[in-house]
Amino acid sequence: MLIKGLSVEGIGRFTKLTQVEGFSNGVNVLAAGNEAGKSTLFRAIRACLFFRHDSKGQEIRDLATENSQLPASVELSFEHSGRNYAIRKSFLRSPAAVLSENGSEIARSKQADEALWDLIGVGPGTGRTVDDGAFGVLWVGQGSSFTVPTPSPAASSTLNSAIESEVGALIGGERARKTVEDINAELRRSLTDTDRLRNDGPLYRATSELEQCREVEAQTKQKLSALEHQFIELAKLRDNHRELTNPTYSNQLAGELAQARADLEAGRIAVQEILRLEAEEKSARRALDVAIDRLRQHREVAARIDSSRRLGKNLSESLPEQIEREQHARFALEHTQQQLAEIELQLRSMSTDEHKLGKLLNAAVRSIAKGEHSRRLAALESAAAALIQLEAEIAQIAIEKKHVDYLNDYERKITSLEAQLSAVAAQLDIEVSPSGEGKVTIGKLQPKGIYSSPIVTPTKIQISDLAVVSVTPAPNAGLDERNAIQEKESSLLKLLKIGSPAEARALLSRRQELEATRASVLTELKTLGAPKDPTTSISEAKNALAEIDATVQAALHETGREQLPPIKDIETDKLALEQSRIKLEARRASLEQTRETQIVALGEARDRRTGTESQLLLVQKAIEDDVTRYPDSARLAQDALLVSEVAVAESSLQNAAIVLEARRSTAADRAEIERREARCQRLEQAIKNQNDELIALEREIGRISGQIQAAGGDGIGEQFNAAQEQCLLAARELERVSERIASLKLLRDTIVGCLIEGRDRYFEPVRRHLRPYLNDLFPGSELEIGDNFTIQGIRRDRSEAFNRLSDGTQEQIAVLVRLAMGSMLSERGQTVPIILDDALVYSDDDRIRHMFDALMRAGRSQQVIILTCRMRTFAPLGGNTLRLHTLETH
Amino acid sequence: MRFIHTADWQIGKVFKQFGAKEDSLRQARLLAIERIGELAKTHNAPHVLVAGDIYDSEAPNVVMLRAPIERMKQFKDIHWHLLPGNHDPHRPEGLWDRITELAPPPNIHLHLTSRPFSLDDNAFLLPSPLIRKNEYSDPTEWMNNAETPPSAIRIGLAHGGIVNFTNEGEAANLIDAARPAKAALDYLALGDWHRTCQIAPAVWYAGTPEPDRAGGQERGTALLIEIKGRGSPPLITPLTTGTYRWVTRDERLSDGAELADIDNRLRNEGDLPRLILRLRLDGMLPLFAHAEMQRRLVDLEAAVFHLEVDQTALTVRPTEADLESIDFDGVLRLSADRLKAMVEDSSQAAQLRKRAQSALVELYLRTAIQSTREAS
Repeated sequence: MLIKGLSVEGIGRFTKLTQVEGFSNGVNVLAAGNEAGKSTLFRAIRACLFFRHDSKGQEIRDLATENSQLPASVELSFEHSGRNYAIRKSFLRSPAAVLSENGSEIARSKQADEALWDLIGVGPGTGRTVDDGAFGVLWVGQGSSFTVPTPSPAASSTLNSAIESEVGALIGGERARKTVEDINAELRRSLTDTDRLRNDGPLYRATSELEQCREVEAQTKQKLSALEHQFIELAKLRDNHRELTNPTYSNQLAGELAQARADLEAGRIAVQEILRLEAEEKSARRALDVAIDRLRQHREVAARIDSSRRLGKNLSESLPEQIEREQHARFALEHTQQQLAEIELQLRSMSTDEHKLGKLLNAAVRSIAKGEHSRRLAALESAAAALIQLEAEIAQIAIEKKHVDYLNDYERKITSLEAQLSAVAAQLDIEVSPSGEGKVTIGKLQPKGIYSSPIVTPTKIQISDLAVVSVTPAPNAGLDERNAIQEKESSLLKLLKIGSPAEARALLSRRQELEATRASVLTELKTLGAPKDPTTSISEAKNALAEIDATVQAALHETGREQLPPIKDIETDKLALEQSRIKLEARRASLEQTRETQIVALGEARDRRTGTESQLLLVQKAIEDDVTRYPDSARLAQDALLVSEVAVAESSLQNAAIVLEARRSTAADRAEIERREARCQRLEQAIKNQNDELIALEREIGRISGQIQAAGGDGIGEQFNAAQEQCLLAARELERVSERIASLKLLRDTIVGCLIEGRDRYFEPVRRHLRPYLNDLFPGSELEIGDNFTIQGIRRDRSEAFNRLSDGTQEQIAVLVRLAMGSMLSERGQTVPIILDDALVYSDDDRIRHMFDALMRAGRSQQVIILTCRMRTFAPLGGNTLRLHTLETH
Repeated sequence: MRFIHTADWQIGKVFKQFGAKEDSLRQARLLAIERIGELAKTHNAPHVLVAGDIYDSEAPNVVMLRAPIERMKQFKDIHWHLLPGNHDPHRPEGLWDRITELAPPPNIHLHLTSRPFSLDDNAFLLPSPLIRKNEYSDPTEWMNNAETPPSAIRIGLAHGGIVNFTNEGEAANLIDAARPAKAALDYLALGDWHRTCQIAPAVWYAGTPEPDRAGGQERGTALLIEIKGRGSPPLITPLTTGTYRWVTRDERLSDGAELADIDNRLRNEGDLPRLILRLRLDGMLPLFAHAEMQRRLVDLEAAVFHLEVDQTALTVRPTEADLESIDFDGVLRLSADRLKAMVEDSSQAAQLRKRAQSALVELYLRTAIQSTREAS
């Protein structure tokens, strides 16, 4: 089909007859600005070809010029199979359709609609329109160029027919997909989409079950191993027990111990005997020592007697001189003490005199202050009298400030209320003529001339005896309030026993004056050092004066004077007395030092004398004692006796030493005894260890026996066998489920592989036609085509999903696919023009040039009609230029 | 002298692969004791010799420990002679000490040491208990020197193998095959093999009274032994004691035509509710026949006590009709062709070929069977 001409009238903005001129083979471009009616023309062509002429659907109503009284008319002339046809349809008003071939009408009305469809190879669809077949794929309306072509059933059929005429049909694809879906559904019970284990799926359950079983098996195996170990351990323990309870071994050990104990006892007896002999030798040695000591002692006493006798003689000769020295020292001490006693008497007399002078000086000083005390006493007495007078006067005035405040308040309120009453009261105005003076009486008042007053209270006006006028004001709450306040005022004045508030204020002023005077008197008393009550201070001042007088009298009496001397004289006498006393005290100190020295010298002389006397007595006593024990006459005989005793003791000692040495040479030594002891201990310890080990062994046997019994009671053997079998079953089940999944995967993958291969083969014609166009824009790339011609992606250096590509690239690919489909259909003799309305809006300069190349390539085999508002951009496209031509008359 | 020879009761054995039916099998082992007791009474055999492995484990739980004792107690006139085997060796504080503590009645004899035991005035039992799981010296050797009266019948009782079947390393619990001659035994009652088996004229394995595994004896058996006197050959009479039959059948399949015949044969085994059937299938089957076989197996499983099918040696060989049932052409047919090629490709790993076979069967079930159902 080759469109050769188009004219419209009453269509959209084309109210007048308008022709599109310039159609030819190859690429045709209608470049016009926005709202030039390009899309309207596109829709008009669609309506003319695919809608019944009597259609009144929304699309047709939208196509017609708004409010036009003319029919919406479209006339399309085209070439098809070498013949020229023209179809003219009028819609909505006076609908009509005429199809002519080579200028001759061949069908009209409904027959024209259907004859046209037969001619271009489309069939009636549901409703009143027809399925537009290949046109639906190759005609791209405004805004539709971005979407991948999704052929309608009829369009798919057309494309499929074209493909199958080349490669045959793709059989069983739908069943295969259904089978794959079913398999995937089963696989999804066990696996996620990413082939991971799905929780609670059969494979997960089988895996978990096996893990659990293995865990139980391991646990029970461990217990069983422990039981086996316990059996082995128990057997070993029992062997040990038998060995330990072997009587041969026990008897041997006991025999060895008995022998060791006997040897040890023999050794110990020998040791005891040696100890006894050692004691005897020691005793003999002690006897020798005693004999030697007695001889030495005898000889020492003899020497001491001689020495004492010489010492006694020397002491007796020195004693008289020492007695004389002591007597001389005692006399010197007594003389010094006598001098000290005399000085002490003189000092006591001086002290008495100094005391008396002190008292006299004190009395003189105090008599000077007596005048000051008298003046203070007079001031105190005067102030006290004034204070008593003032307080008596203040007590006479009972009124206080608060009373005056109450009265002032009452007065202010009464004044205020009366002012309010006067303001609202009737005004009484009387003008009394001179002849009427004294004849008019208002209460007790007799007005003269002009009299004005408000009537606040009932008032009687008597006019001579002519008339009595009573004026009664209207009742008023203010009047009652004023009367109440006046009543309170009267009560208070009566209570205070005064006549008026003014009197109250005068009394209060007097009281305040008296209180001020009283305050100044109290200040004066404070200055005098008196409290509020000055009586005590007055009494104290009087006592002070009396005390001064007594002091003076006492001083005069003690010193025997008639009157007080001047203070200066007293002080001179006192100074002289002090100087004398100091001198005496110095003398006394010197004598006391001398006395101390003399006391020491006396003590030394006495000690020396008594020491000599004592020593002499002792020497005499010692001589007496020694001589008593060793008389001079027996001294030599005793010496000889003691020498012989020493010789006997030396002989006994030598004998004892010989016996001891002989015993030592035959007895076991200390080391041997220790060895025997160690052996006994070792054998005793061995027997104890054996017993301990036996006890421990029996305890261990009991413990392991208990464990074996417990394990047996738990049926651990059965548990292990059960766990092993469970494990085996779980492993088999896991293998079964795994193998089932592997088998299903293999089946699925095989089917999917076949499906892809079939689809690839099926879409090869499309791909073959697409390849040159793709190379124009995306050299070396390949499109991935899915079911129903959907574009799933593009393979360049890697596979990219179609929906991840940019908008511009998606649009370019979509247009290229349409061009390829058109090319394929054209090759199969189904030449359908490609119409692109406002396409390639997102293409950059480089891409759009390549797109122009692709469009020109398509234009070689079929008609391509481009409707665009971008005149400058599409200028490089070339091709035929279409023009709109509006005719003035139909 | 008349007695019953039995062994390998394996009380307490677990059968987890049977799921909820496990308890029936465990109870059947106890029931076999009662049957033996009844048979002993019926055949006037005052003694029952149990040649080891009375228990499956040397640590059974308290109930299972008592269960066989309680069964034996019911037969007060029968003397039960129990011998520890390799499953239940006698070890200190072990299973047999636990039983001793239970104070079993006098007619239950625990032979825990190797010494002659007088069965009656003219017969002696020479028991050889195992005191460990693996005994590397012949436990029956002592019998050679065991003293009994010259005219007394000597009956050996032991648990172990006569020959080392494993041939791997040092075998345990081996018994000299010449022991009857060396020890002048009139009969050697053995246990360990779960199959009734005569080793020599006077040497027998009794087998288990209730089978417990596939591939062993089909029926539970005990032996009635009668010995007229010292030196007389024993008279052996097998007695049936088991409840369940453990049957293993191997069937070869080629085109599925034999399925009905096999089905009939298996169902004619009799007493199906107490039949434990292991079916080993090999050969090749078309897909349609494979589906048919699966259906029949489901029916058979419902009929027997337990069915275990081993199909590892069975392969599918899709026919053209099978493949056309999947599709005449197109994606699914292509997929089926590829899987078939994978199954037939001997260069592929066995596991992958098996998996491809499963996938092909699955495809067939999902497409051909479904289509058939939809069509019907």
